[in-house]
Amino acid sequence: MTLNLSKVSETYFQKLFVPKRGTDISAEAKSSVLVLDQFTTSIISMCYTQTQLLQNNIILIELIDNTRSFNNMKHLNCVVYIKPTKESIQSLVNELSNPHFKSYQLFFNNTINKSQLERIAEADEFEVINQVVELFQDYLIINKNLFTTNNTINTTNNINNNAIIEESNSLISLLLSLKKCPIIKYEPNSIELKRLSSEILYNINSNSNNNLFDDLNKGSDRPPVLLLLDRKSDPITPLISPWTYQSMIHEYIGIKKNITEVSSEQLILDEIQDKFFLESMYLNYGDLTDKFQRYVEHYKKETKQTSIENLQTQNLNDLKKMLTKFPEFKKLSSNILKHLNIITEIDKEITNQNMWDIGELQQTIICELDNQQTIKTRLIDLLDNLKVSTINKVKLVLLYSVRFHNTNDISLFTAKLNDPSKTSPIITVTQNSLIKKFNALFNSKITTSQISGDNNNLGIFNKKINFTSLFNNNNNNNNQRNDNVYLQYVPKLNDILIDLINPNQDNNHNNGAGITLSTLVPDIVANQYGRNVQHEPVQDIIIYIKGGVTYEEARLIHELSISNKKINLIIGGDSILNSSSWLNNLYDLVNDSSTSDITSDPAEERRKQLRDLL
Amino acid sequence: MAYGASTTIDQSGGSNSKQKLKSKRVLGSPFKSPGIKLTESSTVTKDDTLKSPTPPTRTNTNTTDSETSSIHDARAVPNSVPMETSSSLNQTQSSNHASSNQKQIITCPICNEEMVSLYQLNQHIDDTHSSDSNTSAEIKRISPKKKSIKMDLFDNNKGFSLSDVSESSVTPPPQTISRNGNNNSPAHHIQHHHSGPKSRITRSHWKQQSTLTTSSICSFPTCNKTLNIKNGITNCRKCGLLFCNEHSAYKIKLIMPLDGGNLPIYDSTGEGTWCKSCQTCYYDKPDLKQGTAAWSRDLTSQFKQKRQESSDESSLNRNKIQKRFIKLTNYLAESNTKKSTQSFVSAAVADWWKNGTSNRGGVSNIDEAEKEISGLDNWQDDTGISNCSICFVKFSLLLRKHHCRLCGKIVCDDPYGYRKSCSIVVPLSNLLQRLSNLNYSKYVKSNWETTLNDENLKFRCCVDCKNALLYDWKLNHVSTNSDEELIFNTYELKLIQKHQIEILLQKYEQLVRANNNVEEEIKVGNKLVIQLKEFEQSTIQFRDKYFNVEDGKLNVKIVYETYKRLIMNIHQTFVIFLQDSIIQYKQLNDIHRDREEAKLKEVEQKKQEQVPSLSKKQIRELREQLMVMNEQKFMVESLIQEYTKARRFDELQALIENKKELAEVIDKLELQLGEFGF
Repeated sequence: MTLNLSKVSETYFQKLFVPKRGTDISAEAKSSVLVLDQFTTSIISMCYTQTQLLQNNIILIELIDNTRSFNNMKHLNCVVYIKPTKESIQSLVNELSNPHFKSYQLFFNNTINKSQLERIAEADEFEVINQVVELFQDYLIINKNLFTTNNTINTTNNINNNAIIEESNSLISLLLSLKKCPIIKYEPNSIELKRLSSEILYNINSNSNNNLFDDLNKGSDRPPVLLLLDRKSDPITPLISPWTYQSMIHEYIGIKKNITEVSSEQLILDEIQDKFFLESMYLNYGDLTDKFQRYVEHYKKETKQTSIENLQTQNLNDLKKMLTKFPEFKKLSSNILKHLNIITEIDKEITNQNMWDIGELQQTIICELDNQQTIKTRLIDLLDNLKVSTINKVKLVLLYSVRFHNTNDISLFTAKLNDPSKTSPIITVTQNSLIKKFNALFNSKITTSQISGDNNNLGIFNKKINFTSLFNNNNNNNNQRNDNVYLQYVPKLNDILIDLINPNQDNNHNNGAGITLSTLVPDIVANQYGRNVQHEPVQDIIIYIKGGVTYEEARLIHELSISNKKINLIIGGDSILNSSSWLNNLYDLVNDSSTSDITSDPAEERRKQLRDLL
Repeated sequence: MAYGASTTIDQSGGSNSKQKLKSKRVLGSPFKSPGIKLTESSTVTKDDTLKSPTPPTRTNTNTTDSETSSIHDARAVPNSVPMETSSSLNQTQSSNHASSNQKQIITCPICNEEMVSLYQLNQHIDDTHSSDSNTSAEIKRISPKKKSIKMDLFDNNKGFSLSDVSESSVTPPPQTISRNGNNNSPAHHIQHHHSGPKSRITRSHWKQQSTLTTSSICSFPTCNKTLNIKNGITNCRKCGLLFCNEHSAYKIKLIMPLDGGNLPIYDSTGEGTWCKSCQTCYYDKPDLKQGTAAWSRDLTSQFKQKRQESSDESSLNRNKIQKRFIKLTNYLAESNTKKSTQSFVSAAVADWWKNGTSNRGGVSNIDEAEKEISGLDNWQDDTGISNCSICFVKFSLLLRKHHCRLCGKIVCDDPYGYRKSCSIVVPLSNLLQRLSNLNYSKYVKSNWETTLNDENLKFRCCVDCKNALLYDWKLNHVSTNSDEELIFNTYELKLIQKHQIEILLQKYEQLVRANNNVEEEIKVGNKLVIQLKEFEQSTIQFRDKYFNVEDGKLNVKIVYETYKRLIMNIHQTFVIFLQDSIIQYKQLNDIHRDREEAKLKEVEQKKQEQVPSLSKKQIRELREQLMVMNEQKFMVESLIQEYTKARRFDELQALIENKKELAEVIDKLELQLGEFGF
């Protein structure tokens, strides 16, 4: 595993908090205060627990913004971990002019430029800083194969220069933290990706003067690939209701920075701390409930052995044993309770929303498992059902419109959606225009990909065979999965990756993904491997989906890398989508595009009015 | 093709760069060439010899030299004139080989061993006679050349993806010749190693396939498959061992080492060749072996260097400011007393005259003497300045310009400025109190008390100068709080305890795991217990001191409210540590005790083993029991058979259980009976 994000966080933890033995830093007072800024707070909180920090003698945590309110504590060392932004560095400079603590260790979560370093050096009059280190973690680690960029600025509305620079900085830090200097592959028909990729390329090439990217691929016989994709070229995946644990939690309850909230109680989902979650996060609903049952039984068995009633007959020794095990049991039981709460919540949502039927129909439509007429009647049945929520109906109609371009059907469906006797809150104007425009918005991309690959069942079948033959090591797993009617849909990402991993396989006939990727090769990579490096086999792929990634895709990555151990994959995006957040993005998109048509007129009018006034 | 790709050329790259240099020269100007040792195709050479300072004779010798060497690289050279000769030479050579080849295909020309196939002969020569620089061997070895290439292609067809074609295209046929030729003379040998990209991955380390009678197995540790056409027979190009298809379906880039080693090494440049490898060699690749390499960059030394530069400068500046401050103090103190002596007569007049001197902080008519202190050159002129030199705020009617009396810069006194009041009027006494040891004038020293208490003595000074002045004082005077002191003292004490416990725990764990020094084990264990108890005690003390208990909840006492978070966290740290280490200790102790118990049991068992012999009566009783049991067992067995026939599976389970129990009882009885059994 050359791409393992939890290894990164572990190493950085060591760097940050565990004093090196034998250095003078550790000989002095060991306890320290941790000073963070708003960006690093979330990074730290997602990677480490407070107990971990306490165990390493971090006895206070402060924000760098309020240096003025610090108490003077010359007994404490200070670990500063900030993102090198203007504001944070200013606060740091302020703190240094009037230091509250004994000594300082500076850590930055991304590259810091020379002038910034000089500024801090000048401010450090009292010579309290004894270490300056750049770590590279300007991103959030969700799972060990999933990351998101750490951007607070939301950029749904078109091109924002700063946002793209931020994004590229995040990705640069990701590359540096993994010690990879990649070739960049991106979808050429997305303007944003074009800008992003050239920004990254520029960053790599200019940073190579700083020697930052030199020798990163030393020891590797092939360069890693940074694959930049646009959510807009696969708008379907986030619409489809997921059936695996982590995705379902996000779909039905919502996960924010690895914390989910069930009945106003915050529950932490952490694959490192929580073994059950680690084992079950990619399981489908059926397997999940089985697994959970076994987990509970295991717990029962353990506790029964040492429960109080049984103890009466047994000796003191066993009592002692049980008492020492007690904290463990407590952990176990609270963990069980946590997952029980989550699973019941999901179950409730699924039955409330009638998801069993809807989910099956979704899969049937998008994979065309039935003929169009039956699908249509089934869809109409559901549309007539008053209990089915509007949003689910909209999603179904969207899927249908993607698969079958039949405007008559669509108008029939919209009529039903506008009928208050059939749909309880009738669809809004935005939803209506979304249904109308959905195909137009994504048309070119979807038609080329999905239809050419999937226009008959045979097509799907072929693809499955490709899939299994490519990852031939243990395909039992995949076969099983294919049997599950709720897990028929495979995100388009799969095809793209297969094309990338096996470039020659599909070239002449049916090119599954239908996307030709453009390639940028940084100078360093070209110098090392020669110019036509892009045609060589790949080993490490870092995927970034602009517009948001889904947990389903993370699961796909996980399965691919398990079935083909030669390929290392991680995936990320600027956010993690569920169907509702994606629909919201789509609404914005539709509104933008519609207003952009209209706005020209009012602007003109206003100008006219102004002219009249003057 | 590899050649087209290698556009970046190391000029001093040794003889292998000849070809490259040539291609460069054709493209670029001839003047750029190193000037010598370049042998070129006829047209260019004419050009060259005209301009190059080297005598033509020398060029000639070089030509021959390079011709021989270029034989080995014939493939890479397009149809230039000298090359034609060489390639024709080459052809004649190979035709020679071909003819000789036909005569003795099957036997090795060196040791006369009989071979089954050409491929085998090739391998045999590679392996057994590879160090042989015998010319006859060379000839023979060229002969199987074509065949070996075919084998390469064959390899490719064997379950290897199409992209592997690059392997054969990067190392095309003439390579074999070059390799063989290289063995001729040491000069060529060197050339061979320098021509990194061209050198073929050696096969000398390949393990031989077994003969037809005995078949070899896959070398992968857990595989054990016999190697045949179906399972595949492939040499890993890296380690040379034989593997089945499954464990050789990996691809790595290899290159021959430049320093002349005999075995291929991993490559991470464009120069290497894609080769088949086994699973072990694949996962041994340096990058995969290392795994995720989370990276960080330490800038400490760079930072410290920069800090040194700026701190030198600022210490100079501090000295300057300090000197000026002394001057200013002297001046102020003296002028003030003068004034006060005058003041009886014409204080008002003098005031009017001076129109508000420094001590009033007036805007205009500042004493020339004061200006002199900061140096007239440094005293900024009002006219050119429109912004504060610290916070850059623009001056206005409300925001007046002020001169700092120490550095002479114009600053604002905006209380909301970027550093909150870039300048203030500082009472002299405040500073004197803190800087009592400076070298003031005799006058000031003698009137120390009066100057210290004179509140009229003040001057305007900017923040930077104030900080510079007070730098030393700040460094030495740290305001401390007794509560804080106490907390940290106890905390540090406990840290030491904690450290000791950690060490002891580690030691104890080692001892328990090693299990060879029982006495030491007990000793360390006891020490550990004592330490843990002490630690617990002190944690309780800490809690009692700083916390109140209300409704079963711990609250920090109000007195320590300012340190609330600190105290809470410290306490939590210790509680967590205590819990963890107690659990760890108990686990270790359990192992320890289990072992002791096992020992005890052993001793007891030894005692029990000397069982008194059974009396005759007992024997009879036991035998009877045994017989009954055996009978029952028989019955149950027959029942089981019956039920299985009748397919009454639900009852079957119980019967099988029953049978098991019976068997156990029988075993026990037999054991008791010992030699008296049936």
